[in-house]
Amino acid sequence: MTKEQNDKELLDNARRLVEELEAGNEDGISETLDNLARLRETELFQQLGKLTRELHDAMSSVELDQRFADLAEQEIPDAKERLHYVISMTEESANKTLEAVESSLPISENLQQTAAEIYDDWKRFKSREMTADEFRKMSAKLDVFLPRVTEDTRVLHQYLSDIMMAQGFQDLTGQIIRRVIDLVVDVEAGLVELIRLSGKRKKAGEDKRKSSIEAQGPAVPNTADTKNQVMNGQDEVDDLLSSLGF
Amino acid sequence: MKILIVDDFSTMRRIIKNLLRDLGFTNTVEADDGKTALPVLQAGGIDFLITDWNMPGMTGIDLLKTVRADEKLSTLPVLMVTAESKRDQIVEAAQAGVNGYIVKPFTATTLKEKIDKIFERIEATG
Repeated sequence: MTKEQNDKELLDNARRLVEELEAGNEDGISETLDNLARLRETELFQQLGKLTRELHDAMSSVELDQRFADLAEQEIPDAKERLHYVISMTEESANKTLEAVESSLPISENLQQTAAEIYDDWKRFKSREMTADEFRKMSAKLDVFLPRVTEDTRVLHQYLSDIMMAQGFQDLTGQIIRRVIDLVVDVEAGLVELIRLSGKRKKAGEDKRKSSIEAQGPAVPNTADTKNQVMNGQDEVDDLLSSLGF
Repeated sequence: MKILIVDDFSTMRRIIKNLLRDLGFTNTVEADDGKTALPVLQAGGIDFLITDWNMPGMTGIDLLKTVRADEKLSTLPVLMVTAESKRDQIVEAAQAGVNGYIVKPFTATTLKEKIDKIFERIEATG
């Protein structure tokens, strides 16, 4: 009901009240008085509703401002740092893998080549085309080659293990990226809320901070992660555990 | 010796599985979080548990606590291999009864050392 409608109805009822009073119609008097009271109440509730809405909007925009401030000041730079860390970890893994491959290739080529040479000699030996002098040479070659195979394959095994260990980055960067995805989801939710500022009231006082034992993935340098005491590597972990009686 | 490897990243499970094979442990099974690991453990036959911490569903620390609270599993050796490296977390794991704690990224040597150490202790205490 608009204000004009409301005013008009008030006036109509007031006029009718005068008429009913002059006519001494008790039922009519009581009815018009009820109407007037109802109109007054409607207006009051409307005002109260408007005030509540304004208060609510003001409050939720304050909360949202705080959330956006956190996002802009802390969490977005934090996420950038995390993604940079992902780049450097993947780069490091790629370099380790390439180094191991580059070191392995000449070894395997050499083994292959020497084995092929000896195999040719061996075929000639089996078809009795080999002189005694050539046999002595092949024998000497084998004396060098066989222990080298043992050593070279051991080295190759090490390089292959290095390549395998370097793949650990997928797990570690995956955990970091998941956290950034969570943040993106948060930003999205914040934007949606900004659009519907007049929407439902947010849960007040919700503590978004995680407890210090909750799983958080790898600690990333230069981020909020380092606010808590972080162990740098296995040695520090071992020291801590031994201090705990391990 | 049958070892259960629990990690949500299949690449990490594969790495650990290959390292264990190098160390002579060829009998391994895998699970991708605590929830899927529990039925495997409860079915019996697992002698050693290697678990990550940060996993969806059920985390490694909750798995450890559940294992320690289970009468049949309470003495199962548990080695944590995780990127969680905060002091409070390591203390929490120690208090929950973990047998070893390795932080990622780790080396093959570290894994071997920790497994050897756990077995040495088990043998020493009978």
